[in-house]
Amino acid sequence: MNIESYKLGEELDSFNYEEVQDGILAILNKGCSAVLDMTSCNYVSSTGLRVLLYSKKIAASKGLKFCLVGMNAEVKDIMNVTGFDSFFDFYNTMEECLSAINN
Amino acid sequence: MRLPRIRNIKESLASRISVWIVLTVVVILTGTVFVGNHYVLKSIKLEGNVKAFNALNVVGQRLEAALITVEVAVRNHMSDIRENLNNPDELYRITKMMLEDNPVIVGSAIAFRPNYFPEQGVWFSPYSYREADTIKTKQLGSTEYDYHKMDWYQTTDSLKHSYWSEPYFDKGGGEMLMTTYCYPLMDDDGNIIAVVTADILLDYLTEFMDVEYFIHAYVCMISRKGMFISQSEEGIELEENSIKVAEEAGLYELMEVAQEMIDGKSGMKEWTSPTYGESYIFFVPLQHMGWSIAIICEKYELFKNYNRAALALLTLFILMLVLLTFILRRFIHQLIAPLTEFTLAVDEVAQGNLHATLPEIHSEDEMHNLHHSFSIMQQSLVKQMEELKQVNAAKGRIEGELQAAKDIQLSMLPKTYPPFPDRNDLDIYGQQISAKEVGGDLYDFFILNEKLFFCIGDVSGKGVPAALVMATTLSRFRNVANYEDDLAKIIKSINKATCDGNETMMFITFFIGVLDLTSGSLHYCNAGHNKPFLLSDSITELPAKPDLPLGVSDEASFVVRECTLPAGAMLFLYTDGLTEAMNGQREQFGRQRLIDNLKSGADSQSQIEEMTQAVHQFVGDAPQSDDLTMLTIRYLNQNTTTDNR
Repeated sequence: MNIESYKLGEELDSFNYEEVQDGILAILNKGCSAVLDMTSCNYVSSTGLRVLLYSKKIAASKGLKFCLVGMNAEVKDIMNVTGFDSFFDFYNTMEECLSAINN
Repeated sequence: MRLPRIRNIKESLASRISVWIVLTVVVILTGTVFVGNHYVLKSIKLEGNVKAFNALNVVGQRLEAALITVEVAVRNHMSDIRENLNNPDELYRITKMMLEDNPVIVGSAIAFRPNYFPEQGVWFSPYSYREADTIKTKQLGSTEYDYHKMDWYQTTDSLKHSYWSEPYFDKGGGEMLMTTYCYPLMDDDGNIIAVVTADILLDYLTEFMDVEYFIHAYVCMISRKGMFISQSEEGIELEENSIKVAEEAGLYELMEVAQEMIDGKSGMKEWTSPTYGESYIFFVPLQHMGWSIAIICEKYELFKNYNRAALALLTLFILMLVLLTFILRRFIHQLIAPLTEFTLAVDEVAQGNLHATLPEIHSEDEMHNLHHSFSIMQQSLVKQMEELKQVNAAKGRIEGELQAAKDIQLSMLPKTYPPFPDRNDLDIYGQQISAKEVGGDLYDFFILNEKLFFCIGDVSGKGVPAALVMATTLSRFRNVANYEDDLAKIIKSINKATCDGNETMMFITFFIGVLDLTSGSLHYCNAGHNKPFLLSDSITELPAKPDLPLGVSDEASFVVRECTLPAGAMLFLYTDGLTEAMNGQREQFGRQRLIDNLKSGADSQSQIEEMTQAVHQFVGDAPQSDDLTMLTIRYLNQNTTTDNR
């Protein structure tokens, strides 16, 4: 399975969600599974969460995967508070993620 | 229309261009005049030279002509003298005849060599001279007048040909300053018999010294020994030596000139005279007499016509420049006059009159282009202003509609407090402070069968889409809870409805609770929303691990939790607009400040008002970016009254 990653900046909110959304969709539209590298990210707004939801929905409709990698404690907290922690596939490192997808 | 005022040179284009053109003309003309002047001066000098020499030659010729008449008179009588050599008395008659024949001759003698007529003695010299109007004769030689020793006799004797003597004062003879023509009478052996003389007065020669062409000129004639024969200025005695006069006056240049004249040269010298100033000296020899004649004239005299012409030209030149400046200024002014009018028109446009009249341009030049550009600018300004008006109107309409939408949205929320005035077991207060845009926060509550149904939620995103979802969710809550009292089924139903057709993945964090007012038993679900706080003896968050928000997955399951509220306990529900309220330094209000401002025992309204005040204080002047929604429910557990739905 082809996999490509998308590197997220410090924040994912209403100021950059379109750019991120387009970046992830570009990967999925090529027929690749997408990995969102969130190691630099320390804030995700509700608009940002929508991007993640939408990406996951599109990936599922194409039979692809959408995974989140390297989430820090703050973002993880946001995920916990909103109940998304059980919805997305989280991995600590890229290696973990790749081996999980390939298996 | 306002007339253009006279401006100073920096402000006026016409003046600046005129000045540049005039300066260029001045430079070019000055250069031309400078070069031309050089040649003109040269040719004037040359012409002056020619004229001076001509004048001198004319003087010389007239003088020679006069003197030759004297010589001819003498020679004409030579044969007569020879014939009468044996008749001494007859010789007196001959001298007298010479004077009668030529009025210029003032004295004439036939001075015989010593002892030529033994009977007459050593000296014999019949002599005629003029006295008043008569001619007298006498014998001139004597011991007092020993003419054999005189210069003129001895020179003629040694030269053996005729010559004009040096000027001298004829003491004992004519008693005047004179020069004498001496002609030797020779015998067959070539010895002198006698010297025949004819005297003329130097005063007579002065008449010839008047030189044409030069008015203020000094003219002089000197002999071969440098003696003044004639000159035109008073103060210099004739019979003086010119070199000596010059030396005594300290005029060494003149000494050189005098020497060259004595040497029989001709020439021209420049000389600064103490009396005449810058001068030219021209001199030519008179070959026949062996004399030399000179003229000293002022340079000024030579160039006076030129100077006059130059002055006239200069005056004309200046007048032409003034005229040129004037014409240029007028002409350029006329050319650029439309600029002034354009300026006025543009000023008018700037003040808002987009239809200001542009000046009429009839030429096809840059002004025409400018006019074209200006009119295009005008048209496009008018067009853009029109578009701007329309856009503003449309924007105003949309803003008005949004405001109306916001009002409608707010009106969907409970707004009458206290909502249940006849119940004393419940103290409930809700507040939403909207951000500028319409937003997606919601809360609601109602009592049914002694149960309080309440909810609080936050639709993801902002704007009209969020507001629509908010309204829909609110009505679903009311609808579903009205016929269904199982909390799990209620929330599942709302989630299912939200997920249907949710292409844009809008989701809602949602907290829903049902409080049994008779027992204080509370059932609640948390679909991804901020955990509410429970204020009783202590302040705690309601234990509830959040499930997925509404609208994410229609298969999502929601855990229903249960607890019992003690009497006097208060639930504090909020949206993230509270914790994420930002101040000017982009700091968030945060969970800790929230907890710090929670007070056990406070009533619902005052708790919310205090929290609101704390947030406002924290945020300061920073603009509100999100809805701020709070809901407080205080359970008092009093005796129940009637169903007050």
